[in-house]
Amino acid sequence: MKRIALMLAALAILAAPATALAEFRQVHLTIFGMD
Amino acid sequence: MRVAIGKIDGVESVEVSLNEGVARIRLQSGNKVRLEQFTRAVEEKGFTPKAARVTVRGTIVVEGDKLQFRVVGTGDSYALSLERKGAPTADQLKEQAGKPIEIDGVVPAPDKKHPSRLLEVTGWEAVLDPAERRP
Repeated sequence: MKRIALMLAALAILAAPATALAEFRQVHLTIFGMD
Repeated sequence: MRVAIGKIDGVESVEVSLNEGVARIRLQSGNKVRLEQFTRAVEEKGFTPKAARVTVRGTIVVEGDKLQFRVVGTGDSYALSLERKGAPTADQLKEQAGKPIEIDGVVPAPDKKHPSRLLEVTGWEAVLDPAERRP
């Protein structure tokens, strides 16, 4: 049972997102002048 | 300014062009950065932050007739405007509600015309859920 739980935990880690699903990736901010 | 922005947690690289009047910021995966952190850093250096062109991941939330975009990690929420060239239709976005998507767009500087946070969409793509990638 413990072994199965460990294997499931390992699978969950492998399936974890490689990149986050909610975040800013890139921002180009105008710091003066026209928008 | 480059140093001030570079100190913000989650920033991968910063490039400031005073000729163009633009700060180009790339962010690390898993960051929890809010746009206000950048505008504050710019103000503290004596400049006036204006519009920001952004690439951001989050989920669409439908509230009545209105479409909201949530950046879950930070709790940020934006009203979506679909009037720019390249924007999808409201129906296309409604189909994506609740799923992770990546949006390209412009966040105008808050002013009397845009008192609330607005994201003017110029492009989008679905982000594959890792669960769906599994064989």
